[in-house]
Amino acid sequence: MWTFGRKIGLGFAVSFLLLLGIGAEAYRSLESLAHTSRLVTHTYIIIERLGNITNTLADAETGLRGYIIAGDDVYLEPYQGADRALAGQIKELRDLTSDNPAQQERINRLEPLITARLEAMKKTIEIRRTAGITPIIESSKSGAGRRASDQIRQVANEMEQEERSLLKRRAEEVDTARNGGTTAIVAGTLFCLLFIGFTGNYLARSLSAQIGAVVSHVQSSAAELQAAAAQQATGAKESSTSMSEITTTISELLATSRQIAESARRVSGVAEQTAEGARSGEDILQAGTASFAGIRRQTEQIVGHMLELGKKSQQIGAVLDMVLELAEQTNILSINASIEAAGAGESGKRFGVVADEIRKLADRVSGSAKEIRGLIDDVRGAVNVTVMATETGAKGVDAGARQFEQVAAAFKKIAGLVTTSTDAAREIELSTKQQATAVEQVNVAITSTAQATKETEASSGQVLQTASQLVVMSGDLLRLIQPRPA
Amino acid sequence: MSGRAAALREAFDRAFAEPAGGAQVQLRAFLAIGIGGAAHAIDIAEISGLHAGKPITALPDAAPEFLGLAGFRGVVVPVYDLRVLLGQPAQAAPRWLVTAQAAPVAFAFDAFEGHLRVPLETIVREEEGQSRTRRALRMEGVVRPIVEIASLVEAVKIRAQAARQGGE
Repeated sequence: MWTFGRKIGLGFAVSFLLLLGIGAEAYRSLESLAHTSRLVTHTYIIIERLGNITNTLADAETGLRGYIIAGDDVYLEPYQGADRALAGQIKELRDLTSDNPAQQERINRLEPLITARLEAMKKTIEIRRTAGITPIIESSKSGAGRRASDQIRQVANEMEQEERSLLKRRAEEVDTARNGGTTAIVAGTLFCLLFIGFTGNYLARSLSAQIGAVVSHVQSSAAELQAAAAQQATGAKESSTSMSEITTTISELLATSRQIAESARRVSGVAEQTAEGARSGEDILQAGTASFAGIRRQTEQIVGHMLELGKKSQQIGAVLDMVLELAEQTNILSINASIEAAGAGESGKRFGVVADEIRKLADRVSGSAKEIRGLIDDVRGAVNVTVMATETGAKGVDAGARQFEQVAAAFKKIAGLVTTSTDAAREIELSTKQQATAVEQVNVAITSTAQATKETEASSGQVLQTASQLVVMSGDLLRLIQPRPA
Repeated sequence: MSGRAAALREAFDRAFAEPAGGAQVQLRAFLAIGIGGAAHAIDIAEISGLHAGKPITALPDAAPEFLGLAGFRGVVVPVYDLRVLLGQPAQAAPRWLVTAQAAPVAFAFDAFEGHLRVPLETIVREEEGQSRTRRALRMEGVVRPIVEIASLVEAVKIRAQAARQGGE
């Protein structure tokens, strides 16, 4: 979008160029006229010089005639003056027509004729002085002098005619230059006036529209600014209230920071004591780790012994199974022997008694074996329970050892952390002191800020007032630019 | 344990040290057995032997109570299930066998509990009992029905004859 300055500048530039063109054309026309005028003057000078030559020559002839008639040298003065002046006049005429070759050629023809005429006059004067008037009268009858004068006048007339024709042509050139200059000036002026009128109208319309739009925008912006200023004033008031609360809070924070600094100093002392305790605890933990290793070894030995005991009990159980099997077989054999003995009658009775006793013995052995089996089962159960308990214990010892190692590692880490914590506590102590100092500075700054907030509140009121004035002014400006019909 | 072994040895020796026929009370020998969880007894006089874990060769298309054939001292005898013969359900294969005195027949049962030598007055007759167990042993409040092996042998014979006649 073109700016106002650009549009106005463009309008003025075009007008300036038009005026410059008109001026240039007028200047060119004037220059042409002046040049033509100088040429005309030059032509008149040539005509005048040409007339001077013919007049001088006529005066010389007139003087010659007087001398011929009177014989007095007084009459020779014109001739003598012409003899001296004509050379200079011819030279002057030659210089004046140096730009015209045709005239130069005529001067070349004219100059010998004049020289010859003067030479003839000189001879005539000598004749008059020596021989009197008669021979002169006789020689004048031949008409040679008149023909020479006619030739001179003819050449002079040709030159004058040439200059006259030049005058006529230059008059035409003057008319042409004058008409061209007049046309250019009048047409250019009219066009320039039309352009200025059109441009002025366009600029007026365009600027009115643009400025009107901008002023309308300014008016709406001013209204928004007014609303914002009102909001800002309210916000500044709230900020002022908040700053007062913040000031109070910062004061409390300052007191708290001082308490924290004191607490941090105490924490630093406690942390140093804790670090000392952690170093002692680390030694105890190392002793505990060694004890756990001993317990682990003993537990492994117990497990080995218990497994060995279980294996032996299993072997005893196998032997006992064999004893039970033998007792059962013995029992069966004794029963079958009893049956056989009963079938053998009286002779088998004694054998039956033996078989019966063997059966009883087998029964008792079987009962004892079953009892032992029960005891062995109890032992195996106890061994299994013990092994399981010992293994559980061993696992527990392992877990305990691992946990103890973890505890030791954790304790070591804790000791390291306690050292770090001690350093951190010292740093915290220092930081809290710095923090307390910083809070004091913040307190001062907040007090200043609260003062500034109050000033901002006052400024917001002024801004609101200014925005209201701006709304009114923009409305007035809009009415000035775009007057609304009543 | 050494004391118990000594006691066993002493009791065994004392039995042979006592005079023969010293006991005046007449005693009768029985086998205490278990059939399907119930206590029973077999009169030793009716059997020719007690055996355990004998392999029994089953025969195809046989009656439910007939388990198969087993060898006893070079003699092959049929084996019948006492549980089925007494009307009880047959579960696992029986381990114990007795061979009958009256005929080459064996009967199988679940458990052998021991050898009993009881006075005659402990033997009672039960009217309401089955035909195979009309007698019983009453000992210390426990009634142990006596399996009548001879009756079972007769029943097996009758069944065998009926089967043979049916086959002819």
